Amino acid sequence: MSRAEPIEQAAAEWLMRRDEAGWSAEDEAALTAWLDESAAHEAAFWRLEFGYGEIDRLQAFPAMHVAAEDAPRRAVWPRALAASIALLAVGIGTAQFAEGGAGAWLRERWDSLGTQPVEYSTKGGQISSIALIDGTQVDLNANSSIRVVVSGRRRELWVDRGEVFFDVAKDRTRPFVIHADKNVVTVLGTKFFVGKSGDKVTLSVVEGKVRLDRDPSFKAKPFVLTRGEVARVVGRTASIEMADVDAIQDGLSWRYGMAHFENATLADVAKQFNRYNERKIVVGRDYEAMRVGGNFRLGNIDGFLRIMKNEYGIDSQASEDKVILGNP
Amino acid sequence: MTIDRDALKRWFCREVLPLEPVLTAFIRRHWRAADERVDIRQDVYEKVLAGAREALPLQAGPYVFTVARNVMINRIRRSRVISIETVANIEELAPTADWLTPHRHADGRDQLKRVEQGLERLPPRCREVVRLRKVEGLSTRETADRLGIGKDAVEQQITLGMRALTDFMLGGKGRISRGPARRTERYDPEADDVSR
Repeated sequence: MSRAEPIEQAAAEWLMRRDEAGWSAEDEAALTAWLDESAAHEAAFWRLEFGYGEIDRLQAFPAMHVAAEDAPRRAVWPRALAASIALLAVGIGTAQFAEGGAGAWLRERWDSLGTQPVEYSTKGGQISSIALIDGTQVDLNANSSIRVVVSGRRRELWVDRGEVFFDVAKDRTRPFVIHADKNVVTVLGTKFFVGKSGDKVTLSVVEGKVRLDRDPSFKAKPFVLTRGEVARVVGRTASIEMADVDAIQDGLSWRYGMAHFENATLADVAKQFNRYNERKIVVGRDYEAMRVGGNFRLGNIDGFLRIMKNEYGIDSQASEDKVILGNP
Repeated sequence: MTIDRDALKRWFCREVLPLEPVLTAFIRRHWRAADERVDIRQDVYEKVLAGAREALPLQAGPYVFTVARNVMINRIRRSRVISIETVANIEELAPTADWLTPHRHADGRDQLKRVEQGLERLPPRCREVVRLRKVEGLSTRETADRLGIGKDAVEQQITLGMRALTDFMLGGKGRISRGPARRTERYDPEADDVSR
């Protein structure tokens, strides 16, 4: 008598039941208890869960099959994504908190938030970390703008511009819904990133699952992305690629004030620095195409120049309003 | 201190499951009784998890295949029907270098194609149930109504379908199994010829 067969069947039944409406906390506890019983249960369950996850992919949009070029296997993020100044803004209620009791303030916010979206935006050279009232954390990169509605009934957010990282507080009763251009991202899990520039939208998942619904006029099916996956949407075209989660997180180093470059041209690096600094870097013509890599603090131009000199042998001429890298 | 369950699961899905095609081939090469191979593979996974729970191995490949080798050798030792030839073959189990071939999960688009292929291999009724329930997103009740079958039948088809699909995704044949397969081949030194 096969030992694996009944275990696999049991695992399949657990997975199927979990998929049904009405899965309760007791059910969850019973499943955990069953998994605790044996590593054989865990192996069978995780293996089949993988299969379940795979079939979720089939909810794909038709455009995916005609995606233009082959996406690179590894997501490389040459963009500079950080500033030296991190502003921690805890909602717009920070100033209001001092007035009146905290309870009254919370209640008032709760009720009023249900209607009007609240806008948060950052300028150049500024990153912002926002704690929403439900416990979700939203990090804004420079030159980004979002609108948020969090009420007792819903959590909805629009990425109007820029780059945003989300760490969403779990709440099955209120899925977190994010709009980027005409796409809708529904959060089933926790940590992911949304970038929007015009009609180009990038979605990458660090942890958990998110569901992406395209522009409804495309009549495309929704798609579920899991950890390590990156979706790039440009108008009608969309592509999905598997990225290393580490590479995705490197691309998020702006959250910590650092920029990560991997084989970027000096011209691109300078461009990123210039987004965040008054003192502009001008790269000599002969050096524009040169490739550099590393982690830099974008607020620290002098540190960057030192690295250029020591590691790449590139001289610079600094004046008050600009820095010339390489020969002018 | 042991590894927490989430970390263990991530490691298992990311590092061990991609090895399944090679692991299955390895077991097939060295174990004649076809009906026991799935059990052996599950045994391997169980022991891999039990061991990794203490500390994640630096390299999954060598670890998994060492466990596989040991599982098979132990089975031979416990089995009462042994052929000297079988034992000799097992003892010669050289650690295969197969795991050195990168077996990361295929990229998004390839995986999608593979899922579609897997679906195609399911028997028509099963495929339809899986398609309605999982791809179209109908509820179990709606699926049952749409196909004119009972809820129980839907549930049965889903479990069978998902198991077959998972098998296929992990490099197998993706065939429906309704229980322990019939004995196909086993070398029995007591018999005059190999029984099929």
